[in-house]
Amino acid sequence: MTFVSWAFALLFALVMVARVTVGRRHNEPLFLGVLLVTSLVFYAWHIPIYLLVLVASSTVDYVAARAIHAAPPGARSRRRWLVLSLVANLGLLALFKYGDFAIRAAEDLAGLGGWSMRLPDLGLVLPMGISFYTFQALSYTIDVYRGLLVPIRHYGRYLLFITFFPQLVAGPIVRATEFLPQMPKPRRLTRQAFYQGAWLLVLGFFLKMVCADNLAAFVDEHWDRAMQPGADATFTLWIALMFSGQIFADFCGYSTIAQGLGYWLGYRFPDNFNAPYIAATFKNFWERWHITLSRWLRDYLYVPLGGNRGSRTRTMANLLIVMLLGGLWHGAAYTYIVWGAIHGGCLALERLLGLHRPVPRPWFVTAAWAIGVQAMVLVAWVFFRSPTVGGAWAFLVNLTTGAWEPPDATLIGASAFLLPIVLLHVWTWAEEQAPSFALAPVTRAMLAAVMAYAILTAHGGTSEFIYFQF
Amino acid sequence: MRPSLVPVATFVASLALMALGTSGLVDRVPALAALRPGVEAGERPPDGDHYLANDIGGHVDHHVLYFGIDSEVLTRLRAAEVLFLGNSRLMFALRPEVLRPFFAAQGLSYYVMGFGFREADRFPLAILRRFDLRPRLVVVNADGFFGGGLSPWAEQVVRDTPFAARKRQWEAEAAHEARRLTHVIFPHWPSFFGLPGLGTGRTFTAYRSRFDGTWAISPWPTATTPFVPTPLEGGGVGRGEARDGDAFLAELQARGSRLVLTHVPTPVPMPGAGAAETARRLGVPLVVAHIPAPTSADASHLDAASAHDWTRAFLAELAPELAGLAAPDDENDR
Repeated sequence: MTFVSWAFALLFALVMVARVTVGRRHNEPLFLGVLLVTSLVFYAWHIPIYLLVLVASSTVDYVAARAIHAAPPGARSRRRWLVLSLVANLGLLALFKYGDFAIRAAEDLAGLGGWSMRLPDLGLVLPMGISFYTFQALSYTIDVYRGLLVPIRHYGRYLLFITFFPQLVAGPIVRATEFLPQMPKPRRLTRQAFYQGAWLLVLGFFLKMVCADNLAAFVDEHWDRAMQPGADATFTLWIALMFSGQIFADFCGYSTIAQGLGYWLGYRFPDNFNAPYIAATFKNFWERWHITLSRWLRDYLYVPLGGNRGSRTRTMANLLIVMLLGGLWHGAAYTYIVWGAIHGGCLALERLLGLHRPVPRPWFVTAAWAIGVQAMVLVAWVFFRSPTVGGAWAFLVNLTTGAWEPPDATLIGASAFLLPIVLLHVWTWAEEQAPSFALAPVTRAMLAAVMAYAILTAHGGTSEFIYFQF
Repeated sequence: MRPSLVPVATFVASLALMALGTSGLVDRVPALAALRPGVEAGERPPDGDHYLANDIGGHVDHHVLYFGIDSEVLTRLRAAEVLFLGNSRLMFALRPEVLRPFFAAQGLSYYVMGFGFREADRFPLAILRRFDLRPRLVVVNADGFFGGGLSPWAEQVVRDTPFAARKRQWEAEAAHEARRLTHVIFPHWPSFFGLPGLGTGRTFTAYRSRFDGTWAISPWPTATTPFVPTPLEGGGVGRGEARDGDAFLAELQARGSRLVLTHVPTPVPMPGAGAAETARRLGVPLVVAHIPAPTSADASHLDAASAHDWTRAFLAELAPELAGLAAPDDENDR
């Protein structure tokens, strides 16, 4: 189920009825039950049978976490249970997400060796949000293994932590240590919480339905043309910028809606985006883009690999490995691997040059590196969006060899939908420079009305959230 | 401190002011008012025969036909003796007010199963196989039909489930009706003017007839421009086109169906082979109709008047191919 659907509107309306009745004061168990049932319906709306996959993998983690906790410290069984949890989660992810890719890669390898091989596809449809809930579930068992968390006894509540519908299919990736303490007793729906939730919902739907969906119309229509030999450079660059705006608005929109829903239901989620296109370093970009994934990769992959505690070479290698796997997490295609490799390589280079540290340096060095960072982010997006590495390369070649023509109606028209994204970034930058920049409640209400008006009068065609496919 | 209700009042007042202001503007400015009727969400023909095929909120046509979730559509499709296939240019061009009396007079049943999304041969072929359709004559608009594979949308559709298809149709219909209500107060600006630079121009809604598969377009674009149709000869039959064309023809022959090609006039240059080359390559008849000064509102599809004229001219040309199709005891179920 997607947030931009009438089915969801109906479902959420029912949940809110429960929220203001049984969930209002002292009926938390009943309200938690409503949330669990709603979450299962939300997930089953995609492909009902995949609910079994979700519940089965969650149950393995629940049992494993309890067994790990019950075993004495140092017991070998603790590691065995952890391995079981890892294998169950990553095995399902590998089967559904990377099965066909592995088959194609094997054929490609055989082709390189001179053998012609054609294997049948598995043809499995990817369970919605499997990458997200797998990481969330893994963080639970790993935290229990590390002794950072006491496993939850109540199976239903554990299942609610995994399946909680606002963030189930596209994040933010919420850790058990953040969510479980909030679980037993959802916050009261105060007027303040209602306003904040409403603001986040309006902002999220505005980013998705007005910015992302309208930009998607341009990008989908013209991306192939930008990959054709001889496409003019202005046009190609503009299409790349539109996609960078689209993916930000789409994903940030989803995360913001999730946070808003959370507010209304009595839960708080961590921020997932913070104006990533004002980042002046690659490190800072990953502190602003998909923040909950960045910190997951840092804490559960980068640090266990050794982080920056080893030699400089080892640190570089760790960064590259983490980002390559981060790329692969997004999708089973060479284009995502290249996207990850670009970010990994750039992070490593930045660290090598010492530019990741926020220390005073000449302004032109800072400015030049910041421009370079955003240029490489844009280049990486080209690989992310293109169907093939060759197509992405052709796109980039057009940027260097094509003619620079003045922007036409397409480019100028689409800029209208990029403008709010630019303003959002400028606003965040201004707030970071002067925290007193915050909006007064009445001003915010008027701005929310403008965005609501735009949602109703300038929404694009319905398109699914990009990150649903991950 | 407990927040006051002032922000809520401000929000409601601001939104109401904008809604009333722009709604009043549309009513008072004739140029805007002229664009308004039916523009925002489309007007479904009142005959109860049409389902929503495509609008800004979703495209359900592929799902309905591929999964056969509308029993009447499936019945009509199976009964069709003449099946028309092609892209959206065919769907704009074939007009029911001309088709219905013509085929009624011929004593033949027909169904128009073209698709939007630049759909080529693979998807309709999948439907032919899925429901074991055995029309006696298949008429194909050759415009990019062979060698195009599945559209990205169709790739998604064939991996979906009947449950997903029904769900999609329900959501699309609900969203469609909600928009029709909402846009009475909140005009949908992109529907008035289209998105600048996009070839699709202003958005339109398509409803498909269960009865014969023809599309009812709402609103039919009004501004029309004459155009010179692209020629029937193109850049030669490519390997992919030849392979897919042969496979398609073989499938039809195995089903006891004959193939006829046509070419709906369009100003859009076709990639690959022209209709004449494709027909020669496959050894099948090419039936074309010429109308004087065809016009289009979006530089791709025929407009309403030209479509009407073209359907009439085309059916006159097609008539000899239909001779002998109707068995003496066939009853016209129209």
